[in-house]
Amino acid sequence: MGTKRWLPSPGGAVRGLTLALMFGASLYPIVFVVMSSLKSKSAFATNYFLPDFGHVHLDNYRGAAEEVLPSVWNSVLVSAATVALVLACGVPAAYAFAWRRFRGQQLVYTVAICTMMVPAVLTFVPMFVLVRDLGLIDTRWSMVLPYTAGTVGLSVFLLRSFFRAVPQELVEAAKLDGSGDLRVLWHVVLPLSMPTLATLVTLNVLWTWNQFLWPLVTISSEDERPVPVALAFLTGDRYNVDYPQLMAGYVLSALPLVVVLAITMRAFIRGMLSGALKA
Amino acid sequence: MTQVVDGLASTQGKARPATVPPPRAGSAHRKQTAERLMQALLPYVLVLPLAAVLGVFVLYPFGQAVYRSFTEWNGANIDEFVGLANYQTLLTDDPLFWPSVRNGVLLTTAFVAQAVLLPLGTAWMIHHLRSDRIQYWLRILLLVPAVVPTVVGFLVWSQFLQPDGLVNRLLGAVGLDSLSHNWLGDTEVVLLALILVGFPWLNGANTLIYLAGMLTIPSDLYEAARMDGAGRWRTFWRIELPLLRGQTRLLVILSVILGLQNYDNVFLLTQGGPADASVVPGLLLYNNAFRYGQYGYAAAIGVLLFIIIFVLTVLGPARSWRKER
Repeated sequence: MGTKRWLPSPGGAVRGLTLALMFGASLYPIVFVVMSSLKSKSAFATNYFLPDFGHVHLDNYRGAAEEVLPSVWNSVLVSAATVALVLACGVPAAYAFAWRRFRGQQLVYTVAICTMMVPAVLTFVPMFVLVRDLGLIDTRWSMVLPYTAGTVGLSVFLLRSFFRAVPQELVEAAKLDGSGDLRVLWHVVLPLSMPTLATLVTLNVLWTWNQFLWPLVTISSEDERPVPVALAFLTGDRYNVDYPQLMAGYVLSALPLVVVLAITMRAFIRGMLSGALKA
Repeated sequence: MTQVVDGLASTQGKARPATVPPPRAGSAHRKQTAERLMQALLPYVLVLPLAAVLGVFVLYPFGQAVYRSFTEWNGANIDEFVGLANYQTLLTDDPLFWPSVRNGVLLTTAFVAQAVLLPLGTAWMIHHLRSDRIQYWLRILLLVPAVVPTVVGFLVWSQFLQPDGLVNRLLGAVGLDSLSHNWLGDTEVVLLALILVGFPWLNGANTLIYLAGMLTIPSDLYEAARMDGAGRWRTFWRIELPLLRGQTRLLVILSVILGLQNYDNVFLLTQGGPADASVVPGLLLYNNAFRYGQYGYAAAIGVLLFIIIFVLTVLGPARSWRKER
């Protein structure tokens, strides 16, 4: 009995091994990119799979920084502005939907939720013409405004269901104390919704960061390119690619996401596990 | 831009108060009346920014998309109503439309399996690990791949799938040279290669959604199943899977929507090639609009795609959905 506790059941061993292989294979490309970014060009050519600890080649990063960092900055601004706008539009509206009754409420809410079902591919062309006619081509607004519209429906949906989950007694007690809606929202509802907010912010940052085809058509000048577009152009000469430098560029392009996830990770996991997203 | 939104916002703001019932007669002070009015108007003020953004950047383009699908339009000087001509050409005369739908359905089917079945299995394995600490760390590791921008993922896999890339080298290393291909340049295997991208398709967010569902299954249900002599397999089919139906439906719907309109991967890895063997509807739309300047025709592709998505995700599951509500 004493030793049996330490031995997993055969089924458990299979599951553990499967998980180990699965995570290993999923994480290996990341390891591959990071270690390739530290190799010299010749080391990359001769030793493809394994790290080269003998010669850490940081020069790749110097070259890559010049090409990638401006686009990283553009993406940071676009993501930050999008998140700010989504919250500015979504939080007040979600509060009104959750805790107020007003004429037209059902209609506006239904329309807002249904916008989630309008596929981006359908509005792609008219949106391009709209953005062009508004004179926004080649500006960050050409990304921020459509991205906001693209994610705010889902955000309102999630926020409303979460605001509704705040105990009604709390909201009513605050109102009896003479707090107006804005105070209730700010001091009662929002503080209780932090995990959901973190989940929402993380999802929005990831989503905006990964948009590729839209900025490919709206951004033509090199200075305004967001990360995905800049990376796609990075290979340049297809037959003489400097792979290690390319990999260094990939690493740099991911750093802001590493920072965001490191900050929000615990709240994000808590938010997801508490059922922030459920049918 | 903000001016346009603000402009729209203010006109709506002025139009709205008419629908608000006037404060009850006989309210004592003027100050109190003003406060009541504020109270009654506040919800509209709160909802206004949302309505403005959605109106300008979703509803208007949506209407335009539908209307423009009936026109021959290049986005500028050519603009002519042509009725159903675009649809007719698309359905009967475009050699790429039906192949693109076929490829899209194939890739979407694979994507649904990757984004629903695998997370279900992964969540199940994690949930039944004995060690809480390992569970905790695996949840964190689930999120690590999310830091890789999707474009980087595609570009890296594009390297892996080159004739001298990782995939062929691995096959060579284990003595399976016979299986190596020019993955992205061979019409026979290009779709398989696109499905292979991202192997083993660890999907952190979806796995977390399933894990969240599993955490809500009461432990006495497991206990009861054990008392009845049900093994893991039966417990999974009889208890866990039915209780996770909501999560499954959500993920299937989201994956179908994402999968059918996705073409980032095709755009970056093959451009629809070789010989149009990997063309999908989204890419067809993009090429018609931005390579050939046929905006009206592209809009028609978008509308057809929308109808397919709508039927699959709304009309299909709507009945079972309503029943449960």
